[in-house]
Amino acid sequence: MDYAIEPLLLTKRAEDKTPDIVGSGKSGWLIVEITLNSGSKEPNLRSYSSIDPRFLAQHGLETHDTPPDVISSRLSFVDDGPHCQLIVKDRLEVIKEDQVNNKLLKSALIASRGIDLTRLPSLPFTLLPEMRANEIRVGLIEIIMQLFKPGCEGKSLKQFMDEGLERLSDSVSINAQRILRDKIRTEMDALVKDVLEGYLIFDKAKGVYKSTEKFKQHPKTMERIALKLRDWAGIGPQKTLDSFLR
Amino acid sequence: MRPVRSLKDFKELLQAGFESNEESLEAFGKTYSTQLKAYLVESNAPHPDSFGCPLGSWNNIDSSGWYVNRDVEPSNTLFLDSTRDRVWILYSLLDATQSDFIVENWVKSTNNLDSCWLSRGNLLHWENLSGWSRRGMGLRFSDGLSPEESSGNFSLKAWHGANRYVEGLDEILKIAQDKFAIYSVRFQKKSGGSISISAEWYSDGKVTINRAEDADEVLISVAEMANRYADSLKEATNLRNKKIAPFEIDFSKRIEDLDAFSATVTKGQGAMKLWLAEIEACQDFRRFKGVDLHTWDRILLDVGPDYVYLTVPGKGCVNAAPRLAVVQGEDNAGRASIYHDGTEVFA
Repeated sequence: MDYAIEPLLLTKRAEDKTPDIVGSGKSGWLIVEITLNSGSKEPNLRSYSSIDPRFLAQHGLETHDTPPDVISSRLSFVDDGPHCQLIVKDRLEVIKEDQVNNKLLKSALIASRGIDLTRLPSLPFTLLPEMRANEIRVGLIEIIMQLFKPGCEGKSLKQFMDEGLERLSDSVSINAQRILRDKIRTEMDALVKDVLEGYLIFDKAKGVYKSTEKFKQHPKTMERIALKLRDWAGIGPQKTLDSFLR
Repeated sequence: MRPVRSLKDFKELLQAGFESNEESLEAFGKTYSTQLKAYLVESNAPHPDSFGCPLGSWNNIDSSGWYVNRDVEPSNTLFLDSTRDRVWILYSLLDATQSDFIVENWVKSTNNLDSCWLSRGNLLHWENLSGWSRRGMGLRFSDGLSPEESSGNFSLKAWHGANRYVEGLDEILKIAQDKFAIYSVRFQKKSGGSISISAEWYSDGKVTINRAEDADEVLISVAEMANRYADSLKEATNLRNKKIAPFEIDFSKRIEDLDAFSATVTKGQGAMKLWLAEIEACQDFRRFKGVDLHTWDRILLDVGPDYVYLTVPGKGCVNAAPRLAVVQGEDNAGRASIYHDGTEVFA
């Protein structure tokens, strides 16, 4: 199934809709709304059913002549009305799967019910448009560490975004990319001015963030930077060998 | 003294060494023969010119992609076959101690170069080929993450001939090799009733030719391993590009001390060549993000009690997977196997 992230679509009454994820394949198409909002998403989800499927073609997706399966995804249960719901806390919960018309999708959801979500492998993409500030920081950590490669000429905001989105890069709408780029700018500017001041700068002439000569590839320096990045990203204190030996 | 200017010269020099032919060796300025060593080197750059030579400087010989070291004493002692995109072969006629030191330093200190980390399947590859038979193996378990006083390290190097003079030796070796990582294997090839090659392969991609009859046969056998490794890199890269799954490395032993593991990679130390920040921790599971210092490509690493998930985003080099399997396996986690979405790779 191909997919698009935050694509702009129109309902049959020409109203704008930008669902979080739209997937489409031979067996059907679906819309997934991801939320941490404590209020019900029922009105939103209902409105997605009236999206004109012909607009899927504008995003390179297969068109259909039926309404989509609409699914919401949350960390805890809030009643989202007559729609299938995924609870993605520690184990995958699938609720109201009878609302899904696509048989293949329904059986795949049922088969996945109960799987442990806490120790899944990391995904190759580390940034998403929906992310909040601390999630964006975590998503940027290793891309920032690359700036310390000897001879690295730095990275622009677009490079940070494209590398973080990885294989999703072509599927994220232009508008969502613009918003994400702005969020990355806010976090990077704070990092350069405060947490890694002296180690990183923003080169205005070239429009890139880059490392300074203060960085030396020495274990102490590397440990200090790794720990500062963790703190910046809001991750709790890390145990070091020293603390282990104490 | 006759310099090596062609592939033919190189083969003649090797042949003279194999035959301990003093007259032929003298023509190349050598007074005694040394065992041929070869090192498989994984490269992320197309040409060796940009890296410099471990000893002297590289000079082309008559065949495209082949180089010899010159402008130094002793010259004509290192030969590079860079005819494959990703896996080069460095042949060395230096003494073993000097050779290992020089080559290891060259690989370690050069971005974009790494060793080829040979899995158990690669090391035992010759067993499946006609004429080859195993003549011994080396096993290693350093228990490097445990405090010295309580470390349970294990090392075994067992050479044997065609006969087993110690009853039960095979059984002991089998038990040990099921539990611990193999770091070297010795093989012999028989042709026409006599031994035509006797070689010892190491898990870091080195091979020592202890005895040989035919230079061509030796070069072909080393190239066979290089081709297998190049194919594995290609296959693993394709799988990574097509599927969203990570590389999964399964170990036979538990990684007991995740704190020590974390402390090592946070500082960018050790043979793993990883610089990582720990982003999630519970008792027997850790998540890390960072870079592979081999190429400075991004790395995401999830470490469980006896497994590792390795994700290499974008177009990053996948050589970190066999490196982790070999280094971690020999250090503290025992026998290792690498999978990608259920398919065994680097096997």
